[in-house]
Amino acid sequence: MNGAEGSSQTPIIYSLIVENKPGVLFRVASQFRRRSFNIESVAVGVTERPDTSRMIITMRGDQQMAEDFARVLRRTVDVIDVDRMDPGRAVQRELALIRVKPGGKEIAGGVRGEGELKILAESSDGAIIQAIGPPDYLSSLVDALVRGKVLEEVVRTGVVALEVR
Amino acid sequence: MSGSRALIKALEREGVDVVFGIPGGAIMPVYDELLNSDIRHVLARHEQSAAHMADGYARASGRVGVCMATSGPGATNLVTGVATAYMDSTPLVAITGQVPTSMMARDAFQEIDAVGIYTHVTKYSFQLLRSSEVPYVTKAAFFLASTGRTGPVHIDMPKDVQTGEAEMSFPDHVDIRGYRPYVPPDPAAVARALDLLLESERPIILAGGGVIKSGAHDYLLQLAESALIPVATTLMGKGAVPEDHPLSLGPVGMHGTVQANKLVNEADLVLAIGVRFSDRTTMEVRGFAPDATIVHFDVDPTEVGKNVKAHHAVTGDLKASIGLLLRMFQERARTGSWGAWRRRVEEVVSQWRDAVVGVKSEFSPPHILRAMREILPPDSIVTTEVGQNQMWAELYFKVLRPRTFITSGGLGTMGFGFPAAIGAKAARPDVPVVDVAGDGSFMMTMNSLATSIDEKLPVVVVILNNSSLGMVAQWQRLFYNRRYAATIFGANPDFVRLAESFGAEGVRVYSMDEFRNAFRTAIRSDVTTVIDVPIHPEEDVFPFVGPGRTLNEMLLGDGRE
Repeated sequence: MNGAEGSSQTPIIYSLIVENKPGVLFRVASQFRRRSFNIESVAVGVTERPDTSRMIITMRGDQQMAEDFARVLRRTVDVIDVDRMDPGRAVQRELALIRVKPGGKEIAGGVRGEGELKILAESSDGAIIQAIGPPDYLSSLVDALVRGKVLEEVVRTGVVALEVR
Repeated sequence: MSGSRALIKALEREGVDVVFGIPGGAIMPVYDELLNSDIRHVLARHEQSAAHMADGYARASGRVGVCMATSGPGATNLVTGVATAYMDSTPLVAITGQVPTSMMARDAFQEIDAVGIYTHVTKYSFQLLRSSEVPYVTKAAFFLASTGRTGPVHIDMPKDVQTGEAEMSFPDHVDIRGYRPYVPPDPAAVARALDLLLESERPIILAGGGVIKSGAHDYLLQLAESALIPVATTLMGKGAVPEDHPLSLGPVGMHGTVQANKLVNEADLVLAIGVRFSDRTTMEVRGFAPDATIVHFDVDPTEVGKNVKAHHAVTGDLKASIGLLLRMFQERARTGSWGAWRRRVEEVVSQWRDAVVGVKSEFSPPHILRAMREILPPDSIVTTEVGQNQMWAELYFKVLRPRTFITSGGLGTMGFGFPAAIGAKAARPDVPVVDVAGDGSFMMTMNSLATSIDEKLPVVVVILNNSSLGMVAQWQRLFYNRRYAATIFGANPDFVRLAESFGAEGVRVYSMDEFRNAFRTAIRSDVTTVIDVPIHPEEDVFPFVGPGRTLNEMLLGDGRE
């Protein structure tokens, strides 16, 4: 069954603690691919322990599928722990670097939302903006820049998240 | 110590007595080291067969099977056999040679990304990069293969890792953080399962391959006998209870027995133990046991709810959980009120237990299979190929002991049965081993005749020969308006002379008497015997539940449904 389709599409956030060694991302990604799940975002980084990494993976799907799939991820040998975060209780942040044409700065400044902007480089050709915020904010920002015809390129890190205790 | 020496020593420490394989350039140091060991090597004639031999060895013995091959084509040929083991959860360690680390990812001669391929058909695939890792990785491979839900594990071993020297330290156990196979069952969950059972009015046990793998069959039989609950099985569960037992219904599924398919669908509780609810078992899943509460016991939590929604599940080691269920049942000292259900079960069973449906003559495959059962001692091992032969064996060969029926259930790999029989013979030289074959499947791995003669591993091959790819032809008769697309063989070999050319015995039989005589001789022979049994080319397997149908919609082959 393709759990990425169907009507009950809600955000799903997996937080995985995995072995920090070659081939682990391949093994985890293979499980998504086999089921034709489309990963919306993945962010990987080393944890407070150098031999483990944390992966934050976001996608959309229904909740039963998400729970069943969490068991599949847990069964993966290199995956040490799997937590399915409640999007309502998770603090989510993403960073984007955005190259804009002249006028982009002003448009970006007018986008409402819980995010922070910083100009990292500027010239008469335009600017590179650093934006940090929830993924929805970054998506609104990118939409506004596209509509204003000032967006040249964007690179996003993927979502990182921690659940509020 | 070299990496190769360390590998062989690690295999010896695991108690390995036989490995199956074929050498090649990238695994020569390991083969050279084998000459210094007491471990027996059985030389296959195709790597696929080497993996099936290791699989048959493992299923017959309950131990880990070991196979090996060289890099590149050796590794790719081995994949089908390893994937077969993966689908049926056979514990296997598959070792492949690899080009030296300095040549990797440079498209070197006979180089393939083996880990990239094997990851998808194993519990885990290890890439060795340093000789010093060999003892740990080998230990970890056997640990992964043989615990939890058992399965194949792959080790890829570059040639410089084989020849490289290192200080070796051999661990007695390994700890893998992300792998926790020893999960004891939750007593409260087992107690809840018992409550549901005692509340039910029409309970049935559905036993799968997990019962046999975990060694839970004794507890299961005791439970069935104390509670008088009928037991159906999956194809992989054949032998979980003796099929001549009054409580045995035989297998459920596309080619299940009438009594098992009927009664599963009438049940109000299915105690499913070590099953994964394969589509060939459940058939149209919405119609599977529609009135039943499903109570699912399995070692693998990902099986719960995967194919059939369980109303209650107990995860963990099956031997422990069924043992606990049995003890709790005995302590409660009461059974359910199942008198009416027992009468219904007896009525259906007595009507269908000895039925043979849809045959063309008195010399039809069901009669051959029944004659085999009459002649073979109870602990004999029967393997099957894949197709009609396999389904006739499923329906008409009663399995009396666990680990004596070996078949490719999940992957359905043609060519499996003959090499698996050779591997089983290596594990159990004391019992007759018989491969129930079709001509199509046998031709996929029949070069294993050379192995069985060379290695003095005599088995009996019974070819139910319809000169066609019979199961596909059966579907063409039933669903494709008798249009035989690529299923009829124009020129089959003479299997008698073929066998003789390898140094085996060959015999062709035309009647039940001739078959019985030939079979009695063959199972006592010290060389492999091929018995060619020409059957009617339009012989079909019945009962048959067509694709998309539910278990109670059986075709019986005589116009009845």
